[in-house]
Amino acid sequence: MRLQLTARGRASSAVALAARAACTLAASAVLALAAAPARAQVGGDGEQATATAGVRVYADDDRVTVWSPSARAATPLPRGLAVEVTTTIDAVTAASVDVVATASPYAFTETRVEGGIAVGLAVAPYQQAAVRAIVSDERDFTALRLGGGWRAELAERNTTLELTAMVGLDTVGRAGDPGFARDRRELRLGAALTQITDRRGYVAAVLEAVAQRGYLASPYRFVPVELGAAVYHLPERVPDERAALAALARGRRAVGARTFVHLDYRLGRDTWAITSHTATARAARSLRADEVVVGLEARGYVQGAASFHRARYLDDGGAPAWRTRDRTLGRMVSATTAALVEARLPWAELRASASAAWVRFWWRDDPLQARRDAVVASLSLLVPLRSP
Amino acid sequence: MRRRACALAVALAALAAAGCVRVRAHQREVLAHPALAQPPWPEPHAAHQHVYQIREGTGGAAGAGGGGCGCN
Repeated sequence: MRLQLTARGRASSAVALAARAACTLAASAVLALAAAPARAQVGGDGEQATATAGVRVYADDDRVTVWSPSARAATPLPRGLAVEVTTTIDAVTAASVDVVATASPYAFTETRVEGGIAVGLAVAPYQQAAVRAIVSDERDFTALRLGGGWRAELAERNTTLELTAMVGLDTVGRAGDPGFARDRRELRLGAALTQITDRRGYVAAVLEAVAQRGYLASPYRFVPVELGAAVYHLPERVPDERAALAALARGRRAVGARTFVHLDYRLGRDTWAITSHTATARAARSLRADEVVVGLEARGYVQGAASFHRARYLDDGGAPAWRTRDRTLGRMVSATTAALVEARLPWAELRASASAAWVRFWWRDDPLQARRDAVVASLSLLVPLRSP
Repeated sequence: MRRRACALAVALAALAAAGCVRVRAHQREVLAHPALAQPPWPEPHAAHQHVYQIREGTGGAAGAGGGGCGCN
């Protein structure tokens, strides 16, 4: 896939626009893959093949808009096999201050394509193993994820244990610099245990460890360093190793005939000294004889700063060894409110789901942008298919 | 540190105690409800996680691991 960059403006702005485009898409690519769970379960909706088509939209007050159409097909096959294929396209339109210091009057658009395939195999009653591959490509960033997992339902299917592993092989490039290529490697291990507590609910614990090695900075980000009254800029430089651990506690429960409550708490910690806390609460209500489920969600996130993150970097007899302008490595808070609905449509057993969320981010150490508001919306349609 | 270890021990004890429960297949009508799926809204969940991964400094352990209630 060739990245398509359409800059309207002076030729001299092409590099800056390319930088911004590439930065946005690079982040999108690698983090979209990171967001892809290394699940051990593959297949359609139970025993039925399904196809799902959807579109997501992200828009914020920093003039970034991302349209992401996606499709997924999954089917069970004979002999306990199951196959799932997915594809997603990110189409970004932006004029952001993410890379340069001031917002640009020029807009750009570009595209990233991601594809994935997974194969699952029932290795024993109530046990499934799966392998999965995901690839993402654009002009200056390629990402590959290879993973697998094992999932077992134990204790008369009251307990579910899932173990996953995924390896990431990325190559980071730089727009306008064909000689620039840096490797980034990732290993992600996960374990999840779900336990039914009674007829009305269950609890779960999820643990995930991630180790990254290689080029973890952005090739487009330059850090101002103050030397007395003067300021000079150096490329961003961060440690080339990072390990993180995240633990999640989850509860789901029916609290009435048609009302459900979900509670999650997640603790994150990494070797760059970032600690984060995430709390999510959701209430769901079933309507029209379970044909429609609506939900409201609230989420709060707070994190500390990386040990080397500074609002300002000073030349104190030399430039700081580690320096970054990545606002996500500083102190920050985010809050989300979302409305969700899923409905079974009266035609061909179609199921539709839609959501709208408002997210506010506060970056407490960023001198350029302290706050951003974003809207995230999604719409998807699931079609049951005839199994082979 | 001791408080964290204590909290972890309590959580594990609660999980272990829950492990004594046996809910049989015919008793899972409520557990099989779509609102108790994990995640209950897969597509919106993925969309939101994508944004959080990009805009926040840490992530992980947010997937659908665990497999839900084992009702299907």
